[in-house]
Amino acid sequence: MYLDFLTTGILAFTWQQGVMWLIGAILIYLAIKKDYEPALLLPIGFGAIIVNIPFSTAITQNIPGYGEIEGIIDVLFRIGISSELFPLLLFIGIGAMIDFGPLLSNPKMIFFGAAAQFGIFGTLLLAVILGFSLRDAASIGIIGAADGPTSIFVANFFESKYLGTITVAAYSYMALVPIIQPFAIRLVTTTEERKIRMPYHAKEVSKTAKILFPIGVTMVAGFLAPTSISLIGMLMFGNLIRESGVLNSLSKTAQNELVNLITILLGITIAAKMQAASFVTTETFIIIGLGLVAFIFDTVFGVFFVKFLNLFTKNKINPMVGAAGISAFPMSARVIHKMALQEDKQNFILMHTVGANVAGQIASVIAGGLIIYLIP
Amino acid sequence: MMNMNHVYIALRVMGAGMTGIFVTLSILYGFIIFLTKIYPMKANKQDVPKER
Repeated sequence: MYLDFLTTGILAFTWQQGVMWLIGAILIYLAIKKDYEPALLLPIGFGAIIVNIPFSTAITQNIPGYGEIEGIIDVLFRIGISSELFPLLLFIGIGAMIDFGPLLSNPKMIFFGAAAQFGIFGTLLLAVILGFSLRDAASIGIIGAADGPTSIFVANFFESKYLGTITVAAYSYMALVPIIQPFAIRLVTTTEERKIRMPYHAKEVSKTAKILFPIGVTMVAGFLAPTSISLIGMLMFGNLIRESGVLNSLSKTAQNELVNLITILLGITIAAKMQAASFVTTETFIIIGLGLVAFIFDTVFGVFFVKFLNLFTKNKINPMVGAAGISAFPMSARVIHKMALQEDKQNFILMHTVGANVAGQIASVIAGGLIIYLIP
Repeated sequence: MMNMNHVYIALRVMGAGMTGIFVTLSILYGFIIFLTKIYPMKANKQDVPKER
């Protein structure tokens, strides 16, 4: 029959690929209708569809009569993710977006960034207990960094076969911070605790201090956790461009064009790891569940850390600020500030939550470096 | 299948990882204090109305 070619694709279609189309459609729906991380979820969703079309030349395929053809998404994966290029370039843009002023004017917030990384290690342990290998468990645990590029960087370093699932989980839960964090915070705080007011005295941080900060952070992190240096180095390089004051056009390019371009490529490239055969498995559902646990652990441990500090301090800290120590910037800071306002219309804790939130950025990157170093 | 050796390593990584983060950020805290001592912060007068 001359027209057999028209049915070849349809006949090769599997139900697992149908599930992936559905997942792709859900991600696109969440991006467009719910505005959940649209810059990432939309390309990932569309990528999930195009890699799950039978004989798709977007991914490497053995086409009868043509031999092996390397697909564009696999080419992008090799160049951009296997080499760690995309997540690291993204960090330059993120660094250029962050103002560390609120942290510099209120330095004790840095410890909240540390406490809220517990989700990474708690989830790692849980994943090992559930039977995942150490390297896969570390890759799953890093979802708790609440930081997409760090998750991709670490999972790719460990060559985890779950990279696609981990990325989707990390970005999805980052988008769901306004739902996950208030739920977890309310579980472990009382109304009275959420009403604690924290005065803030606005201070202007010296420009020189802002310039020296990224250089110093890179040196300190480099000495203590050298495996984090490519991550923290790129983040702080972006921040130095911003704070230098002489590279305004580069800073704007890093914040906008660079981030946008890499985000488009990163999103669609992740689809290389979303092929039905490896994605539609029981492990995927377990990993999605563990990702949620990681975010809840981060939030709860951050809150408990502040509660612990409040046992010894005269000026009580609002425990919700501890939950802002995750890396989902600036969403977490805004969500928690909004929660404080819901409890008490005069309770303005935004500058505190922003301080904890940018500390979370630094801490999550250091955590990523440490986990690479510590996992055998 | 759970591997007890891996659980033990994961516990060790948890202890060392959290300690490592706290130590690194404590040093960064000291660095920020040092920076702001050398280059002190000024009270933000942005919202203070000017006298006419």
